[in-house]
Amino acid sequence: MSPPDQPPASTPVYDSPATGLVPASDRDRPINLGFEAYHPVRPIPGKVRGENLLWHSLLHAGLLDAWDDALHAIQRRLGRDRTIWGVFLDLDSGALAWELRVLARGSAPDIVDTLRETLAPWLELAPGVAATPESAVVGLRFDAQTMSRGRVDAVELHERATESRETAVFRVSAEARELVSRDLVLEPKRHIDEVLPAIKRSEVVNFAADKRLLGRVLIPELFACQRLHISKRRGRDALCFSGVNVEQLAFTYKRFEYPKPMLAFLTEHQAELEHLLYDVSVEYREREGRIVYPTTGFWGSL
Amino acid sequence: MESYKGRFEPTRFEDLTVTVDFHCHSACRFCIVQEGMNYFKGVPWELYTAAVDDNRASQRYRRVTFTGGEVTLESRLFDYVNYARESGSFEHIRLQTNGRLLANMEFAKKLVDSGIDEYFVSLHGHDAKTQDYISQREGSFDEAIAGLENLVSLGVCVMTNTVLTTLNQPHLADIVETVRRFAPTRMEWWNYLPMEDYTDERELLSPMDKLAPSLREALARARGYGIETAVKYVPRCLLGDDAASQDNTQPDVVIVEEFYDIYPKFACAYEAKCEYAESCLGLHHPYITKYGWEEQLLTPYPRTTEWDEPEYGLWVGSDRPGQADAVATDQPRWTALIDGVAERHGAQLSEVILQRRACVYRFEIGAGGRVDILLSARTQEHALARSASFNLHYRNLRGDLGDEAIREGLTALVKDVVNTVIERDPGGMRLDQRKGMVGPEAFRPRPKSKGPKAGVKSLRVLNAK
Ligand code: SF4
Repeated sequence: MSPPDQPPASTPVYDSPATGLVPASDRDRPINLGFEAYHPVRPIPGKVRGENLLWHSLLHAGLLDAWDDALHAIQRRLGRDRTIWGVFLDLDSGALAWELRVLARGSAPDIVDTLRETLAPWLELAPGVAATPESAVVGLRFDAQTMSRGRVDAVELHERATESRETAVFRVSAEARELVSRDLVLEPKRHIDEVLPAIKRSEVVNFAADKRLLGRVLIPELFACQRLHISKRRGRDALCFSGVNVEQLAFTYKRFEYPKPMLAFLTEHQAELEHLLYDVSVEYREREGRIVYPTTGFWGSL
Repeated sequence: MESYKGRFEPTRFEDLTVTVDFHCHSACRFCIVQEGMNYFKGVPWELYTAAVDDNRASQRYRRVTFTGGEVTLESRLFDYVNYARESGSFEHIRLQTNGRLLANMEFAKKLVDSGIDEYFVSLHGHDAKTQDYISQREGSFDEAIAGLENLVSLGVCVMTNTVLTTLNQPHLADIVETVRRFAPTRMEWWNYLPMEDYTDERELLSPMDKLAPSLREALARARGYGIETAVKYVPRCLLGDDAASQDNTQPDVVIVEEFYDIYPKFACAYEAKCEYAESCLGLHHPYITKYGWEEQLLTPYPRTTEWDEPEYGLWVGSDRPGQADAVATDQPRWTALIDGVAERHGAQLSEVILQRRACVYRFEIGAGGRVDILLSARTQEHALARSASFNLHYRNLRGDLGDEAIREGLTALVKDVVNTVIERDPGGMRLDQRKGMVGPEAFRPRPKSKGPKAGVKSLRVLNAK
């Protein structure tokens, strides 16, 4: 099946100077974690698509061969810039993990079914699970073992009641449905009067006991972003700084000591990736009066 | 998202600062030269003379300031000063110094005779014990005081500069008492900026709940003695009755471009709420990481205008203290390029934002219509149009674009501005006189890194405390 929003032949696609990277095109409509499309912030010529960071992370983990076809199948089926990918680093084990998020579109066929069908040649996806009518977004997490297991048991359904600014994320399998996160999206600067109390309403960090802790979670280098996703999860909170530039992404890599080859790749291609905005997520909790970061990650569009 | 909030860049284009070299005979514990700038050499003679020659024609800078390191140690200082004086293009020649060599009256007189009429003398302690501890040189306090005495007896303009750290925080008002007898024209208070010691392992960063009261007392004391003050890098809302003394403007510094990359950046949680967000930098990132956002301590001044993400950087404001936040529409050279256009369209030129990388004209038209026309250095990169000196772009188109009248009004305005700039641009106009002036030859080789960058590595250390 031909991809629905693949650029037509006449669309200029600029050659990437770096061989093997997916070049950017004038037809790209990158999206952020809230599935809002934005205009690239620099001229396109000479730039590459953000998905190159995803492919490189898989290459680094030795998983590119395993996932290449499956992920491209999703990209072809749903169209470019319709899916969001995330790459996560477990700061204790150093292991990488990934997530795909897809926006459910009104009357379109059930998105879980679509994903299931697309991935069928490679793995079985959440048998028996269907998206609910409130499902705004479907998330699919995978790690180094997923392909060899040949199966993903659960998907994450992001549900939002009409008029609510809060999204509840449920992890849903055939057997269980559990709440895994409550997310609130605000503008960090304009809505600061709501942002600060929302961050401080925490079961995992006692911000009242030590005013310094806020500076360790609301990371000043990432504060200049477009949206802040404030998440409450089991045993940890998270902030996602949405709409940061490539310099801030590079800061994140360094700050959280991402694998050296990943940093080297980003550094080498930073100028070719500067037209895009990224989303950086940081999970945190308090341990003995200090902030620890179980995982951090970043997002782009596929 | 692109935000220049807190990016440290020159904003005061009337002053030119020249770094002659970076040697020093003191070793101040907070010294940013020691931390980061040791790797930069001074400005090569040819580039310096080119800048002065340029000023002879453009009369762009009113003052030239020589700095280092300790510039009085430089054998070629008098060559630099003589060249500036003979150019006749500067109203003032200033020296930034630790004042120690000025204890020698003969030398002080030679400096004055060479044409240096303003002396910006560093004094970081109120007494010998504190100052000598900070400078790590015994006798440095006595020398600086003797230097100040000599300057006063020679009748030149004297100013002082104090870097605010934990080492002198309890004694700021005492410093005022120490220098009041010299009747300085101005006392400047610069909060310490860590350059490469992100985690403040040297423990020099003073928490605001201690620093601010101490500084307020010093400022009040100076005011009582009729001494003008200027404060840099301390939140305006913490300065009490002397809030207007906050002055974060910076002169043009002839130095390598990378100089600005190692400066810490700033942020304030209340940026979108505060009237002074455009001129007040807030707190720097290393401070926030160490002490938090100080959201209980900072008090935003309610805004009277809508806040926008400051994507263009600090305005080039006036260089008078307290006027740094003045709306910068008074840029005759730049407004001349588009004079009269707004009127032709019933629009209004609301701001001219001039900084090193861009000149932005902000126009307002009709109900809620707005557009920025941006001039950046002429390159072959994609642009809406090109004039003799610039690439032209438009940005931040606002207003109900579904309304045909508004859309057509904005379109006509943009076209007219672009065509007028193209018509009037004489060519050779430059946003940044220095850019490209100092190249790789101005670097000393850095020692090989022994591991991950200190800041990054020690953030982990900081979190483990
Ligand atoms: S609230 Fe923030 S921006 Fe306003 S004066 Fe205080 S520190 Fe500066």
